[in-house]
Amino acid sequence: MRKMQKRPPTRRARKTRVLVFLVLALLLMAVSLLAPYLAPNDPNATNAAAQNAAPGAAYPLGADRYGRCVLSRVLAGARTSIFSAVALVAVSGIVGSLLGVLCGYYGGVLDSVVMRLADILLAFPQMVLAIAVAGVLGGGLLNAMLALGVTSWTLYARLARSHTMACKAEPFIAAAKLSGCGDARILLCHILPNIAGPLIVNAATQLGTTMIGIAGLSFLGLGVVPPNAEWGSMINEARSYIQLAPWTVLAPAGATVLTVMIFNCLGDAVRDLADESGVA
Amino acid sequence: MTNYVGKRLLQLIPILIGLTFLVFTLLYIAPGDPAQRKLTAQGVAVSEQVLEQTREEMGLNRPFLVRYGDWLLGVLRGDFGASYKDGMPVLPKLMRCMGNTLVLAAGSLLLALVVSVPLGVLTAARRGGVIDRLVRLLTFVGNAMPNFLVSVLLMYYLCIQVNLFPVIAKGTVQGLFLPALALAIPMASRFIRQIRAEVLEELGKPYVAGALARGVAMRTVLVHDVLRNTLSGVLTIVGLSVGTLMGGSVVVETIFRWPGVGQLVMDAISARDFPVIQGFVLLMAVIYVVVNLLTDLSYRALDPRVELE
Amino acid sequence: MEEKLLTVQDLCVSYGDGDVLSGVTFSMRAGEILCIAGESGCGKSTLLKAILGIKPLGAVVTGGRITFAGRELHAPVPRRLLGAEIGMIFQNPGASFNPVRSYEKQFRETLRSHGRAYDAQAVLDCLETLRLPDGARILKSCPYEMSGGMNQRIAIALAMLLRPRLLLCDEATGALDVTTQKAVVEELLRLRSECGTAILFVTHNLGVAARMADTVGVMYAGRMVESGDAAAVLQSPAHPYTQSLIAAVPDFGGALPKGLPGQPPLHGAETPGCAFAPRCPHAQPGCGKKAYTMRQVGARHFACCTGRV
Repeated sequence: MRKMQKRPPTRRARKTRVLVFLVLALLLMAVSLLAPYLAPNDPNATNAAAQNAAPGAAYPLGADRYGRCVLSRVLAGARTSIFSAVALVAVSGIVGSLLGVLCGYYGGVLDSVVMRLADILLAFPQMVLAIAVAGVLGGGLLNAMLALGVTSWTLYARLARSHTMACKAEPFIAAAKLSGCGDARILLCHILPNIAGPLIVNAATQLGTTMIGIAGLSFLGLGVVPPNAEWGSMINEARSYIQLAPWTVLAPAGATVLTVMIFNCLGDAVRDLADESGVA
Repeated sequence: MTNYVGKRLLQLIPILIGLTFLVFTLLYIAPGDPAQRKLTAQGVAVSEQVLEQTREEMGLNRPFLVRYGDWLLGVLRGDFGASYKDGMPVLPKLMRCMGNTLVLAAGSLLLALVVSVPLGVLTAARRGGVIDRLVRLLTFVGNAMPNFLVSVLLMYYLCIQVNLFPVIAKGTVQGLFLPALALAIPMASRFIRQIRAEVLEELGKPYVAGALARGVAMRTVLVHDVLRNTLSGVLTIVGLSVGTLMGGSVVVETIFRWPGVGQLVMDAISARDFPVIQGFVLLMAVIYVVVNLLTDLSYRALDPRVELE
Repeated sequence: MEEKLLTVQDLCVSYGDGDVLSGVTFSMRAGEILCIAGESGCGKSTLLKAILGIKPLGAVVTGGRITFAGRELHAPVPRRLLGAEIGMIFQNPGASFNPVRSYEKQFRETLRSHGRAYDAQAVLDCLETLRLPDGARILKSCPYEMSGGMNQRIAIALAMLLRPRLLLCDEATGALDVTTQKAVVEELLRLRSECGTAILFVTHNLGVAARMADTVGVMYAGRMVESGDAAAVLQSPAHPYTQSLIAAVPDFGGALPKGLPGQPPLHGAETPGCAFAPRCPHAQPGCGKKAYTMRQVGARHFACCTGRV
């Protein structure tokens, strides 16, 4: 007999998938928040006796060339790596969306200026501009985030603008106006909730790439500066010693890949769910 | 077509003006006095007199827009300014390394395409099969790997453990392979997923069932119809990835010491040699804009149905 | 008993979500024209897709058997049979061509797939008989440049060009104007008389059925409810559904046709009793429980119900 064809995943299955990855992502964040309590050792404490020590009882994932606990540093780095990515996505998402909504709603000079600026910024390859901006500003996590944020808001602004313009033409907005709603109220209570779907989808899909971007800048020495722990800079610091102590590279590498994979899965799941509900 | 190209070129003008303006501004966003920075980069002892003289030389006493105008005119003549460090003109400096970067970029693109086109088609044709699942798992991991991580791991396994390649990539063919591979792996992971999706969409079109019902072999349909029709989509994917490729090449060049513009700019960043950074961004952005335009044009040229407005 | 070309026995077909065809049984002799009539969604097209057994069409046989020329067909049907032995004209045949590839290439490819030479004159002649003059120009163009009706006739031409022993037609005359419809019908009849091609013609147009068919089958909600010689079925329909179907045909100058109240059920094939009972003017309380069986109601005339209990 011929094989039965697979049915497309149901809405419920898609929701479950989003939920699973959301829980995983939240778990990661919880781990990074609780890092100081979970870490077996002080992430910055050096120990000359344990230089490049192999994984063992005292150092579950080994120690680096200064004898610092790799597991503790990975946990401490989680805070920087994950929260900087989440914060950057949140800030650039909110700023970009607000600008986009205002542009779409009011049009005029503001719209032209912001949108032309977005066009111009989109003409740059994102990472190239980020490297240059971070390079000029000098290292530091905040500068690295700023460097990536220079371009990342444009996507949200464009999305929010086009959806706002479509939404503005809907009869319920006219009705709200007639019933005496002010602009602020219309924007916040009527338009924003209606266009939030695609913006959230975009944010969810950006998490993974943003993390890779921050880690990349840190790796180049343009982000988090040692001795502060961050996965990208940890890998950069440790790569010359990879022969002696491979765990110093592999631990932050594994953490990065795992986290990005969870973020990417979450993004895909959210997008699939939205595609099906016709939100995006 | 000519009309369309002309129109697109005209649209580029304001973008390029804005782009150059932002690139020019880049020099001034760093805290501190540019004249002082220049002198520090040259290792000259800073005195108030020398500082004032340098300011005058750099034209820092003139209004910002005038300086921008001067600089833009220079750029149009191919004068990207001079390096703070050695006073050499920036453009020839960049161009000397540009060749290597282009070779690396082309090599990695080629590598990525050679792997991802057949795999993308294969996984789509055998959707849900063992190969499809395996490849999708691999691309999933590859997609989550930053360039620098791939580079470090490749270096560790292939150079140190297996001793297959030299650790430091000179500008040789042998030295090209690893950095190109490091760029190609994450790129191929993305390509495979995108090509698979494109091919799946194409396979769902009624003409595929039509050709199969006429007794045309699936392989023939895949090669002659599906692949041909998805070519424009593949081209777009490649065009879009050029930006990522440029960023990635900075990282990979630094790790493998590949003598391209990426390494040049990282050296310039550590030396605070701002005109080189500025020239690098400008060059990359212009190339990116041109590549995007070419992608768009060839997309239209490949699909006769797209009307040229 | 004479050799049957096609035998379909207790066929059940599903798209992966419950059966849409259930227990369909019929057979065809070589050169016979069987028209299957019924409302949209009754499973006529599904039947053809199941016989072709091509994966992208999605119809999966879940029970029963299909025998062609003495051999049982399983999906995937051998490629050499498709097109050459069993031809198919889709509901929207124009869509069975790759829209951006010239007809000539697609004609060549199809003929080559069956090891046949491309005879330009034969192709042009075939196009000519289907009211497609200027065939040379047509062959040089791509399907996206042609109108829907043209595409349809060209697809019919290609299907005929292969001279299959069995031609499956899914509403092949649906989108054509009356004169072209007539030409297509005549051409199909000529194909039958010249090459002995059997034609399984699925339609909701009872006029075309009356014009062409040797035998007629009527389907309702995934089941064959009546079948037999065309004259018997169309002139003295036994099943209440067939009666109302014929009554619904508009005729010139006559009264408005009697429409049938209600809608066919979505998953009629899964209901145990008579799926037509809710709309049947002769329905009895027991109709929903009776098992489905075809009974002989005349010489070579079968129906699952005669309206009399």
